[in-house]
Amino acid sequence: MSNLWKLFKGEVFRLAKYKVLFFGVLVSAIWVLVIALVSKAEAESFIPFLIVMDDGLMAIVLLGSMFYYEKQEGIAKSLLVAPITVSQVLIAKVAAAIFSGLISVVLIFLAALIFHGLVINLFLAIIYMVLAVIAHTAIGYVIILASRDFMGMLVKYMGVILVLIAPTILVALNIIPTNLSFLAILSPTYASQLLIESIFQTTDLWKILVSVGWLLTIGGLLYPLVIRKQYQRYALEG
Amino acid sequence: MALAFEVKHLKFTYPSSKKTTLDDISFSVEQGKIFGLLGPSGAGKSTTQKILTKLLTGYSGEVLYFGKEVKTLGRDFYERIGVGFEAPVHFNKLTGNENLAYFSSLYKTKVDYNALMTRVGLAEAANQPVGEYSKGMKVRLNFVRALLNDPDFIFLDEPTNGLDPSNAHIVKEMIKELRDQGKTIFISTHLMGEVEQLCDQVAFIAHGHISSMASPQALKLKYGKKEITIEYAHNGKAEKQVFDMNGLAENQAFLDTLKKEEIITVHSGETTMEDIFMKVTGELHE
Repeated sequence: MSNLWKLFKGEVFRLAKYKVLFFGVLVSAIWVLVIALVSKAEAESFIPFLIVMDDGLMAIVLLGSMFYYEKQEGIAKSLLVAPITVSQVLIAKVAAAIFSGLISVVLIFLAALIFHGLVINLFLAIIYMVLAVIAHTAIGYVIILASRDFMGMLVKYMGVILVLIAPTILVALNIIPTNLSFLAILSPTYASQLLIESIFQTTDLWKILVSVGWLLTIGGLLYPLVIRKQYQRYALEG
Repeated sequence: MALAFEVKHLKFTYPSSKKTTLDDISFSVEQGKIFGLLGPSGAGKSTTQKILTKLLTGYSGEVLYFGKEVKTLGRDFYERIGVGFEAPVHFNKLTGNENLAYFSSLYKTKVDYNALMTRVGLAEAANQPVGEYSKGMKVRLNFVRALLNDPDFIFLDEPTNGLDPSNAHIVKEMIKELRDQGKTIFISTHLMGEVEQLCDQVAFIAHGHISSMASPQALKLKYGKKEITIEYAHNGKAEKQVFDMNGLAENQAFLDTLKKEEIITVHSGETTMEDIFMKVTGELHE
């Protein structure tokens, strides 16, 4: 069994032990209830935002809380002297966040099917959710590694959330002209939402491709070039 | 005996600091011995250990592990070493056994950690969350964590700090047994009692410089006085006399004192490790 798999299993075990999975399912249950109470059209427009909020933006908080727990406990330092790489540790953490997101996506889509008969391409939804988690957790790590403690991280997180959500609001309120709305894709939150929405409605192929490329670029650049090095430095300080 | 570690002209400065943390230090650790790196807080002990465990790079000089530069070693290096940190390094919400099972799963070679837990007196607490452990229990768990992969080379940072005498004795006995099995142990500490009882060789570090290495016994001879102090009762009063150890058998005054006086105490001029620590680290400062 590879070390990556063992690390992933360990992450999921701790998510369960720290009751993070339990509360994740509880929040998803609330979303299921909301989906049951709204109309089919409302559900179609509501679900993409829900998934991005739950699996993208909330994943940052989840990552932050686990990170500071582990920093306090000296775990990160202890893992650095085990025969594993920092990349494996980070991949396992992102994979665990994806696992947590998977539960919520499946529950939300099951609710959409049961209450509104919405047949959704789950495979595509999962791929888009994975991209959303990778890009958002990468941004999350940059915030975490630039903060001294959890409170400091939360303050920065609030600022970043505003920046990430602003394009979605500006497009929804037609403040950004339609011919310039593609610029909103620069926000990974908007790009993620656009991808999930494309499952429910016709979307320009180029917008889908640009969004996929942008989310991959964010994760592909931040993880190896910034986060991997900073993580080791931060772990040693702990 | 082969050299497990050989450090030559090691210099290191943290990127964020202007001050040199380690300034041209050299020492070697023999395989199968217990080596003690002693020094006050902030002397550079932890930095040295981080470089030896490949956690810090960017140094100049050579750090060789069985003849190979540490920088060039892969992650397999960590299969061969065990690291015991001073501060607790465990998931507080997991039990002692869950922690050990997790860390143990990351290594190819595994030991029976239940036996180790029993030996350090943690068997009954093995299924208790680590967050409920006392400081001493966490220190013992750290020690077990360092031995999980049956390492050839073990780094221990203050291994008995915070332990009661009985548990400290158990840990010290286990360290000696590990040495007798051929393992090499590198201890960073400021506890001189630990050094005296355990270490085959010691080196003092202070202000980024290191003193010459020696055994605790050799250091005591070097820094001690070759004299004997006799305290005796004379006319109802306690009196003291100091004699040179050289030619003691022919020293009439010494022999007369033994024969005629009521001896209360006899002390050799052997110095303590604490005194040597103060003296050597003071010299390094100058």
